[in-house]
This record gives sequence, structure tokens and C-alpha cells, in this order.
Amino acid sequence: MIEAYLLHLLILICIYAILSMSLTLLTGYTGMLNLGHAAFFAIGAYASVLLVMAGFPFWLGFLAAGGVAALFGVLLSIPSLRLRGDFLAIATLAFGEIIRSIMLNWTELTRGPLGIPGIPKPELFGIVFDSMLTYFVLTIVVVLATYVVLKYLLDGKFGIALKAIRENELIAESLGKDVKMLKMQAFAISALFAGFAGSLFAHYITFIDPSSFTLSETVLVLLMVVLGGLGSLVGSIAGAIILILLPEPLRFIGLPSSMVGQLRQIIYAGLLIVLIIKRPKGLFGEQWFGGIVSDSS
Amino acid sequence: MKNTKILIFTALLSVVLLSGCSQIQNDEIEIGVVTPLTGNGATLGKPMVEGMELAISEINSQGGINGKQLKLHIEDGKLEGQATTNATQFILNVHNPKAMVTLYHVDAEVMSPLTKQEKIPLLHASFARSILPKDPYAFKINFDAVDGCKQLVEYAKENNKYRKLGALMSRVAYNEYCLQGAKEVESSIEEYWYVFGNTDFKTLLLKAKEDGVDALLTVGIDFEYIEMYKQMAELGYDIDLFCATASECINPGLESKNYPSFQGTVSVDFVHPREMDKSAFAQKYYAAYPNSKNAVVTYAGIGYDAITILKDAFTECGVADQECVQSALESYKNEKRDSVIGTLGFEDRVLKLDYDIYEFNENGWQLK
Amino acid sequence: MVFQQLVVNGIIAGSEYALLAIGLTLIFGILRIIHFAHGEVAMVGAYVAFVVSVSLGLPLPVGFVVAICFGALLGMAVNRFAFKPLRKQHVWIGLIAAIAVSILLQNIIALFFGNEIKTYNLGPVEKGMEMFGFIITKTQVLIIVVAVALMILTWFFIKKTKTGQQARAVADNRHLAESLGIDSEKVIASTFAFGSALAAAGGVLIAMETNLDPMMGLMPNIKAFAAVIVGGVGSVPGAILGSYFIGLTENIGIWYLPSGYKDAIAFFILIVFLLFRPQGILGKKKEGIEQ
Repeated sequence: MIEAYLLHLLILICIYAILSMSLTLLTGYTGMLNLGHAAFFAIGAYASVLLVMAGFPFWLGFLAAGGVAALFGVLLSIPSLRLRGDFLAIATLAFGEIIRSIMLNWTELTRGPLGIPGIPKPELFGIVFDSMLTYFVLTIVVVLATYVVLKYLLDGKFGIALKAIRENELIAESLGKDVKMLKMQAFAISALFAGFAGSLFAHYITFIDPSSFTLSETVLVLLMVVLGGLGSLVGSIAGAIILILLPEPLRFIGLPSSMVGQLRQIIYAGLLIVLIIKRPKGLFGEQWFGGIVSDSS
Repeated sequence: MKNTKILIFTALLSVVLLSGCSQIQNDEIEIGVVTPLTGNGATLGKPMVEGMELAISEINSQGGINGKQLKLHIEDGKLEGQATTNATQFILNVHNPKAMVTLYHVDAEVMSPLTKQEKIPLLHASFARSILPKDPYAFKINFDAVDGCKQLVEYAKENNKYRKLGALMSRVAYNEYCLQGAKEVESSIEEYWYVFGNTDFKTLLLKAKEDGVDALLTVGIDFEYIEMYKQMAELGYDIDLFCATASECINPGLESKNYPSFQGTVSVDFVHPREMDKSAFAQKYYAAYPNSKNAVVTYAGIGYDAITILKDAFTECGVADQECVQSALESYKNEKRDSVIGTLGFEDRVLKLDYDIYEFNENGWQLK
Repeated sequence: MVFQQLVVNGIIAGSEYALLAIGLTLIFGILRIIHFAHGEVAMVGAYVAFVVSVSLGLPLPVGFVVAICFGALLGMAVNRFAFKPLRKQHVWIGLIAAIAVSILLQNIIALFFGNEIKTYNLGPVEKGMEMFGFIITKTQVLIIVVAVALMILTWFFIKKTKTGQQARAVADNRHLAESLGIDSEKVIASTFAFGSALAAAGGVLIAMETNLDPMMGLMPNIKAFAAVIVGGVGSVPGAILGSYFIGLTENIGIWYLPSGYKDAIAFFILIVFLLFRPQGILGKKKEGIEQ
């Protein structure tokens, strides 16, 4: 039975690996902090669910999840054309929260707080992915595909251009890079894969509601990206593994019920602080030269 | 650097694996509960877990069930879909629970597909019945918002307790269900929604007043009720609160504050709020958990009763025979009359509770 | 009648946000860190006052003063142990440290005090005073008065004291300030102390109005942050202006719009400002925009 639990964790790791790879493209490579990333995750989830439950096939729902999320990614890229890093971060935070507000209040579309139960398992090529093992196979395939695609993009000219933007936007522009287009593409691709992750998530848990897509999820993915090392795809996957597994051993420490919830959170937060202070560059991080470490000018 | 990472990963994995292997003990009956223990939902989650613990320690001190001790596995669901799923997967796969218990609707929705697969009973104290048709092993053990709010508004309408009704509600499942029930009786209800966690109702109250509303329906948690009453009193608006359930609405801690706005509150409940607070069970509960003197005792009672119900089924059937346990639960009638919250057994897997209407006046809650 | 009440509701909310926003704008102005844990500092301040006034039975003003002192110390501790070690790192690392600190503080308080709501002993609740077409309680008047008084004090601190002037210098250009002999670490520590003291004061005032629970700092902090941006980062008058702007628009907004979107209103305003006037109402032109 413990294998089932490990499989569950592995499936979650895969889903979050896709999410953190998608975020590292935006944050690690292009240097744009996105505090509203959970919104793309959510949009993908809801898009996929609404389509599939209306009778469309899973592959369509899956692709639409990425597509609709990508559209919103393009939308969010607009502020990035004007705003500097930390201000952009705030704009993304606001965006994420507005999306969540809509999810909660537009009950005609999303059923709001009641959520959408009874989401069917994916069906592809006649196979229904309703066991943990088959679902794991599905997610790992998507993870590998994501890794291959992103590695190809990021190791090539696209990746170099993005890093140039991260280091110094003015210089990048003066060297002939179409910065606006690149930013838009970065947001779109990042959102695309986050949307795919959302679809996989929704069809796995079989119930979604706004409570699964809060700022906490964005923070979790950001932690994965940072702890794994900014600008590293392998690091993002490592980050996903570490952060999904991190709270689990805490379940084995017996604590009185009146304290267990708070104590676990305290230990978790303490571990985070220690980890971030001891390894601020993450495990596989790159050395940055630009960024917003120093002053504002 | 790479070595450290592999080391950490292996360490975590081995802890997970090794600890899991040592858990199987055949002389214990394991029950799992996933509910918020931190955050805003904990106000009800904690008392429920404490009630369960109380019942279990009593049973265990009397020899357990058929000689076996009961063991409770508690996890914090944080009122978040993902955390609850992880916690449920953990308990189901690493331990061997014979039943699961939960409180909030969202948690029950997430847990039900998993417990259904294991064919174990899911006792959920949510306010709605929507899980029951999908999961034959699910049992609802709390107030029914659709029925209860319908009854409440029915009483209020028949007794002319309002001219114009409004709903001051947070965007959560139990309010959506309550409104559904209310609308069966009163089709025209002004809706004033707010985000769960918000405690500033002044402008919404003003809006209600300007709309001519003189009664507001709501289902909330202590930190919301205290503010609604306080702000209504300070603003001096002549609006009555219709709330469910009475013991949550003006609990003993709040009652001592004597806000003038308490007057005119109409509520519905399956226990008498004052009697519940003074009951033998409550004294037992307060003695065991001295920090919970302002808690909502009803929820401790719900947790306590959940264990009592399970105990009866397990005593009759043993734990191995899942079918027997299932039918024992379905036909549970509380013949021993040992229920704290006063149930009359399950009917179609919904706990039959006697709803009464209560009004709050100078002498506190009055049964109507 | 309605309009005046809406304005008053907005002013009360704005005063509460302002006390958090001032600290945030000072800290963000200097360090560019989104101090996620600032609301929790306010929350801890509220609980300190609770311990002093309810558990120990001393008058609330005493609790208020103790809370302010404790807040200053807590702010300096957070800076020293969570932010300072990460000073040389990318600014987002500090953000993660702030988030971890906020989780830590919320749960430590919940562990010791429980999740249930707590209240100060403020006497019986009665109808507020009716004047000029609106209703306001004595507590609410006190909140506004104390908030304004603290704002004036802050203006004095920034403009007239040496530390305040140094803080502005460091916020403007840290390297230049250091090369002129200013000990930036000391200035940062003082800024944290001052901003956190104000937050603790804000926490007590908010708790007087809407009572205490461990999560009480979360939303006010986010609103305060929106206020900082709207008013102009690094500008104390801007933070104040932004706070009242947010408070007023929220309350007037839910009058006309579906009230479930109350929080979204603040965020929407935030985005509008970021897109069209990122330097805020009172900020300098170069703020926020890509060079």
C-alpha cells in the first residue's frame, strides 16, 4: 500500500516539475518574477475540466488548457513591457488574485466555492488512465516532453536571448533583440506548460475548487525554482522533488492534536529559512551578474 | 553539491519508506481524520478532533472494541484541496484505517473518491448532501444547510419576522447550500457576498439597510459573527440576523458580551445551545481541553458521536467485514441513546437530527 | 447620508492600512523587499497588547506602548536574522525568507493563543455617535486620531531627524550614501525598527476594531502594499494617500459593484496604477519603469 502513496507523491512531483520548469523559464531565464503563476495553473485546470465535462475528448481539453493559459500569459506580458522587475512582480501578484476572485465569484461558470466534482479520468487512444500507475506514466511522459522542448528552446538562441534580457535589457535591445516579442513569448510558453500541468492536476484529483489555486501554490512553485537553482531545468525538477517530499517526514512525528498543525508549520517554515540562508543560490543555480540586488538606478 | 542533493533525497525517501513499513499493527483499529487544524477553518476542526480523541480514550480505557484499542490518525487539511488530498492518500496508504472522518464540504469532495475506492466509510460533517449519491460509503453527520435554512426561513416568513430578507454570506460551499434552501421558501433574497476571511461588514450592512432589508441570513464562523453583531450594534441598524446553527452563532463566549444586536436573532439548531454548554459532555470536554472553553462544543459532540457510531458498528461486526460494517452503519438507530448531539440514527445515510427554531432575547436562546 | 457613511468607512479602513503602509514603503524603498511578514508584525503587536491588557490587567494604553516597543524589536530581529544574511542575494530570496517568517509568526501565535477570536476589554458595545449624517464609534475616532498622530510623527522623523534623512539617502542610492560615510546597515536596522513599531501600533488599532486572530495581518498587509504602490514607493505621504485611496475606493466600489469582488478592486486599482502611473501619485518619474 505504501507504493500507492509513493506513486501519489511521484505524480504530484511530476505535475509540479512541469509547473516549476515553466516558472523557471520566466523567472530563472528571463528574470521576470511571476507571483501570479498559480493563475495559469488554475486557468488550465478549469479550461480542461469544463471542456471535458461538456463532452469534448481529453486531448482537446489538455491542449485547450495550455492554449487558454497561454492567451492569459500574453495578457500578463503586457505590463512586463513597461515595468521593472519588482514592480512587475507586484503586477503579477495582483493579476493572480484577480483571477482567483473571478474563479470564486463567477459561479455560473466555475460553480465558485462549490467546486467541480466528478472530473473524469483522461481517455486517450482508447486507454482510460484510471489507475495510479497509468496516470504516473501519463504525467512522466508530459514531464519528459516538457523537459525536451524547453531544453531545446533554452539551449538555443531563444534561451540566450532571454538570458540577455535578464542580465541587462538595454544591452539586449541595443544588440537587436526584439525584447517585447521575446517577453511575450516567454510568458506565453511559461503559461502554456503551466496550463498543461493544471489539466493533469484536475483530472488526477477529480475535484477542483478555488482553494487549490491560491498564492500558497505560487509560493510553493517559486520555492522549487529558487531552491533548485534559478535558470536550471534540472534544478526545477530537483526543487519539485525536494519540496513535495519535505513535509512528508513531518507526518511521522507524533504530536498532540492541539499542537500538531501549528508545530508542523513552524518546523516547515524554520527549515525553509535555514535552507534559503544556507543555499541561497539553490542546488543547481547559475551565477547572475545583473538583477535587482543593488540599488534602483 | 550534487552529492548533498542525492543524500537529502535518499534520506527523505528512506524515512518515508522505513516509517511506513513499521506501521502495520494488527491489534489496533485505526481511524483517520483530515480537517483544518490551522487557519480559519480550525475553529471547528479542532473541537471535532478533540471530541473524537475524548471518545477514543474513553473506549480504550474500557478495554477497546472486542479487545482491540482504537487509534486516531490526525492530519491537517488546511481547508485546501491539495493538502487534504495528500493527507488522505497518506493515511489510506501508510496506515490501515477502517473509517475516515472529515468536516468541511470541500475536504469531503476531495476525500470521497479515495475512500470510496477502499470501500471504507467516510463520515463527513459537511452541510450538504451532494456527496452521498456518488459515494455509497459516505455518511453525513451534521446539520443540513439546505433543509435547515429552509426551515429557518419558513418559520421566519410564517411568523412575520421580516419584511425584506437579505443574505450576508461568504463565498463558501455551506452558504451556497443555505441560500439554495432559503430560496425554496423565499424567492426574493438580496445577496451581499463577501470574501471568506473578511471582517469589515460596515458598508455591506449600510447597503442592506438602504435596500430596505431588515433581516440577514448567514452561516458563519465565530470571527465573522462577532464582527457582524458588533458592527450592527455600533451602526444602530435595525437588522436581525438569521443564522445557522444557533450554537455557532452566539456561542457561550460571545453570549457573555451582551451585544444589543443579539436581540431578535432567529436561528436553527439540532441541540439547545445553552443546554449543550451546560451538559455533562461539555463539562467532560472542558476538563479534558481547558483551552477550549469558548469552543463550539457542538463540534466536539459531533466528533465524539462519530466515534460512538463507529464503535457500535465495529462491535457488532468486527473490523474485517466491510459489508457488515456498512449495513450496520446504514441501520444505526442510536438505540442506546448515548449520542451527545441527539441523533435518531441514519436515514439514507444522513444523520437524522431534530431541528428546532430558536430566538434570542433578554434571557438568551429560547426554543420556539 | 449614505455617501458620508461610505466616506467614513473608507477613512477608517484607510487609517488602518496607512499604519502598515508607512513601514512598508520605508522598507521597500530601501531594500526593495516585499515584506510579506509586515502584517504578522502588526498581528504580534496586537497580541502583545492583549497579554498586557487582558491577561495582566493593565490599561490598554500601556499595552499599546509595550506593543510598539516589542514591534520595533521584532522588526529588528526579523531584519537581522532573516533579511540581513540574504542581503547580497537576489531580492526574491528575501521575499521567500519573508514568507517563511510570516508562516512562522502566524503559527507561533496560534500555538500559544489558539485560533479562536480574542478581544480587548473595551467596555460594552453601543451605538456610535451620530454626526453630519454618519455614525462613528469612539474607538473608530480614536483609530483615526492615533493614526494621524503617528503619521505626523513619521513625517517629523523622516524630515527632521538625522536617521530619517540618512534613510532617504540610502533609499535613493545606497552605494552613494555609503561612500559618503553613512552606515547603511544601521540605517536599515532603524528603518525596520521604526516601520515595525508603526505596524505594531496599527495592529493594536485594527484589533480594537475587528478583534484578534492569528490571520488578522494577512489581508491588511496586502492592501497596504497596494497603497504603497498607488501612493508612490518610498514616499510616506504617498503611502498615506494611497491607503486612504484604497480604503475609499473599496467601500465605494462595493456599493456599485458585486461585493464579492472587494479584494479584486484593490488589486485592479493596483494594476491600473502600475500600467499607467507606476511611480504612484506622489512618486518620482523614474520609479518602476524599465530604463
